[in-house]
Amino acid sequence: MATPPPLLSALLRLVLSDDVTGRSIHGDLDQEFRQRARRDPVAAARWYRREALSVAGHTMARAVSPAARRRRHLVSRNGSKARKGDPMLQVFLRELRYAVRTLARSPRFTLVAAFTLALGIGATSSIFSAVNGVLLRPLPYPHAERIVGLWHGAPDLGYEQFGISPGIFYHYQTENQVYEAMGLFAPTQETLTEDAAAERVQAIATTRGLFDVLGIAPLMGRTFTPDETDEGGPMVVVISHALWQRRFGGDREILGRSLRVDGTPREIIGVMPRGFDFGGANREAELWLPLRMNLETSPPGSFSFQGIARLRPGVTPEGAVAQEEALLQRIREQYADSEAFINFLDAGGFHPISHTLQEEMVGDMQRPLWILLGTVGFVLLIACANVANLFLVRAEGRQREMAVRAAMGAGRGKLASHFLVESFVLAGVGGAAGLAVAWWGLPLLLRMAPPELPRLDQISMDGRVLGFTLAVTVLAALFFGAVPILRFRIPKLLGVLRYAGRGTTEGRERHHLRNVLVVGQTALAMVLLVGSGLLVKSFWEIRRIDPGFETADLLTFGIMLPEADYPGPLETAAFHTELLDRLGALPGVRSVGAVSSLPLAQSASGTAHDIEGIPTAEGELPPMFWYKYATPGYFETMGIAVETGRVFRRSDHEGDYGNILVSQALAERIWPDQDPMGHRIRTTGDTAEVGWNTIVGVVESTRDHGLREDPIEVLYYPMVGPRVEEDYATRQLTYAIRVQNPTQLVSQVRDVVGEMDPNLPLAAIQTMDEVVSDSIVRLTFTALALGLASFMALILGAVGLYGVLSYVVNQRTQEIGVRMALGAQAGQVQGMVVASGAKLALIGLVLGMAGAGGLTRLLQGLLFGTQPLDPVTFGGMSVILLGVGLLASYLPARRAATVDPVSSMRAE
Amino acid sequence: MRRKGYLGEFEQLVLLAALRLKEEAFGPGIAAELEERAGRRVSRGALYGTLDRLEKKGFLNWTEDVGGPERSGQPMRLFQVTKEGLAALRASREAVRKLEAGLEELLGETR
Repeated sequence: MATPPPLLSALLRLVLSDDVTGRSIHGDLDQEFRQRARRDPVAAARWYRREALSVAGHTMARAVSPAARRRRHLVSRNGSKARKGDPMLQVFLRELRYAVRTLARSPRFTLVAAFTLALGIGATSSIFSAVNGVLLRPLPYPHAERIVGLWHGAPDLGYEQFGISPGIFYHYQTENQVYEAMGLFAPTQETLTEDAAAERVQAIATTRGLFDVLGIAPLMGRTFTPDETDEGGPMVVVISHALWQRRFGGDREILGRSLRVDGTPREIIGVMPRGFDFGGANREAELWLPLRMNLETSPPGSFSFQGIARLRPGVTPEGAVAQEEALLQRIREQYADSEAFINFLDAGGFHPISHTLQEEMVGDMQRPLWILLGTVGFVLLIACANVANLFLVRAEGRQREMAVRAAMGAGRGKLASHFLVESFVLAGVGGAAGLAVAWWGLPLLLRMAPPELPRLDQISMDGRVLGFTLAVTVLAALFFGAVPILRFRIPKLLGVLRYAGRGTTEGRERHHLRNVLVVGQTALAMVLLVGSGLLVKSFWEIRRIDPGFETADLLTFGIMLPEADYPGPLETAAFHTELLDRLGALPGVRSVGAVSSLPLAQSASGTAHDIEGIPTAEGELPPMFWYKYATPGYFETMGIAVETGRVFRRSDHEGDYGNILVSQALAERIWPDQDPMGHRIRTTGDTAEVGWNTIVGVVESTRDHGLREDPIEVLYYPMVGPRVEEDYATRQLTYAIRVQNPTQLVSQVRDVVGEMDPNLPLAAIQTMDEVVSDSIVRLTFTALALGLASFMALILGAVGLYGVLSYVVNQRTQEIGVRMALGAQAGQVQGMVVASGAKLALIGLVLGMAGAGGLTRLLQGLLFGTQPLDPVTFGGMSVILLGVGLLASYLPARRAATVDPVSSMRAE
Repeated sequence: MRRKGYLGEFEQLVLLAALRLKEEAFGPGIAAELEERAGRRVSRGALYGTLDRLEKKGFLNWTEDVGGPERSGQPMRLFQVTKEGLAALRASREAVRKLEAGLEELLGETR
């Protein structure tokens, strides 16, 4: 049987009286809902929502309308059924009206308090929205928790995690009992031509299984059939929703049409729904192509593919790994004659790895997000402490009012409920304003967020964010509402009446609570200051690292030549050479060059190499090097220094073949005490004499994998190798142009490329400075957010300290007047007040340092060149905090020093 | 302050619907009757408010009946029109008839 929407049901229970009348109304609605749900559950739920709200609204309106109250009064006198449950509501409504009126009477207090809360709650809600969207919201796939990525690791060779080879995938797929479905895929990039302008798009070449694993059906058409993903299958393509909209205007008749992908026409057989995204390379994928590969006969050692699988119900990722390990034993026997593969398995500590898709997509953003949430939680606590302090101050001023109420018979509960209702009203206003802050702030936050932050599109304010904000608001209200309640006890209040508010200095105990709050605030602010200080210092340290090239004044962009138009290495090299010449002739261009993978932006390929004269020992693996293709001019343009020998010149790909360059890091490892010049290197497995390449130069090492990673050992090939026609063709190169104002050159570059081939799109147009900032965006984002939060914390903490001291000075005006009348100097009075503020700040500082010492360890993975207990940061931040504390104390102190003894005593 | 005996238009409709339903006059039944016969869509909030009011005026009373799982185990109120209710309906009808006398042509022939 259908169940009525639970939230509304709960609302009805809350609003309707608990007698036959109320319960029968609830029953009527439930019964009618169920009858309607049998015909149309969705319409029934809508109906229930409407009618439940209408009943709740009418009931509440009757309860509060004065006429209804009068009527009830008459009825009960007439002896009819009296309604129960209403008195509580009445009391609540009366308190509510009273609280609203009191708050409205002191608008300055209300505004400051609500504003403080709105900032704290708004910041917390915004960050929680991000945490919710990225970490908590489930992926949009059925039983997404059962989807895992298939990875492997060979830690002994320095490879923490890489993909899967088609050979291994084939065996896993045919022999396992743990997976329901499996898919093998590889990201590629393709150029679309025909009809519209040429365009580079991200694509995925995949087996059919990928779609089965994710459990998402195409919006239109179908995905691949088994024979389409086989070797030599028909040329088909599935396109993304975005591409369908952008390039075909959402044409309904799209299926069966043809699309030229890299020069080859393919039939469009399906359109995927919007938001079909499973992270990584797929995030921007717009095409899915069949893999067209015979998995059974493909080599077992080519790990440039990725695997994804759906676990059978009840199987854990660990269980799946155990089975893969068992299968690997059998696979090992199958390939016993492939020595290199067996060596790789044995020497590397080869083992399978499995992550759920959610873990994979969220990856290393998890920690920064939780840290940020914790941080804004601190800011909120500080804000609450401030409001609690304001409340306390205000409550002191209202002692007489409270005392009168107590004398007239109001119990402690009644007074307490008054404060609570007041704090709830205030928190409600603050919470609502906080939601508005989050509503406006969230888009700003998202603009600041790292673009690689996964699931960015999932970040929005949903029911859970609202619920969270509500919970935070209630907790905040309880926190600062409880504080004045703790302070007031009725006998004491009656004492106030007796002494009729004679001004005396408060006793120690009365200050105690406020001081505790200020110390707590200062301590929290100190923790945040240290945290953000450490991140800012890491940021500095990272920016000081030499990446191995000059980052300023460089424009970069990618070009991909389609195979259909540029079939061989000579055609591609001729194109690149001409483009280099034409770009070099542009006004202002100092030099230009191109490379197959740009440092910090793209990853080079790596493979095993044999070195002439250094044989690989039995059971050992030949050394792995990264390799790239580079044109003449690349090293000069990037500012990569030549250590020995020379860089490429035009003759290296125009007849004088077989010359290569190596990076300093490579040279130092292989020939630590020797000159590497003239030595020969060849790809492992290549046995031909023509495969040997001679080192003609050593160049500075670059940090390709990130500023905080080691420089890489890389080998540079020219665009054309000794085999000339059969060699790999450098279709994809990234160009670098050294020019004064890089961004102003973009349109001229476009024109030049367009003149040579109007079908060639430019990809990833960026300055090198942008590439570098993008590579550390996670640190930048975290540092910036934490910096912002700690700035807020510092300001709020200072306001708290200032508020308390001002109040104390006010309270002590008469005492100070007496002191000054007795001869105290202004300086002495000033010092006294500043000292009391400094004492609070110092205690908070020490506590905060202790807290920071414990908490900064959480930042470890984000820090660079800085220890979590870095004394410079701790010291520097202490100085800042104390400075701000002293300033906050100085202002009230100056006021204290100007107290006029005569008028202060006359005021008595 | 309301005068006892006065019936609003909607109150009349509700009383008539309850009369038609005889022993089966519970909330959803009355709502359905109003919708089917009088073409009046009625929000449940307004309906229960009116039932409440009619009960207080003494024109309706109700007996309790037990509810099954269909009603989430909640009780059911079955409404009956009281003698006073019937009298009020008659009075309203009489008043309308007297006022209508001589206006048949203008208002169109009644059934």
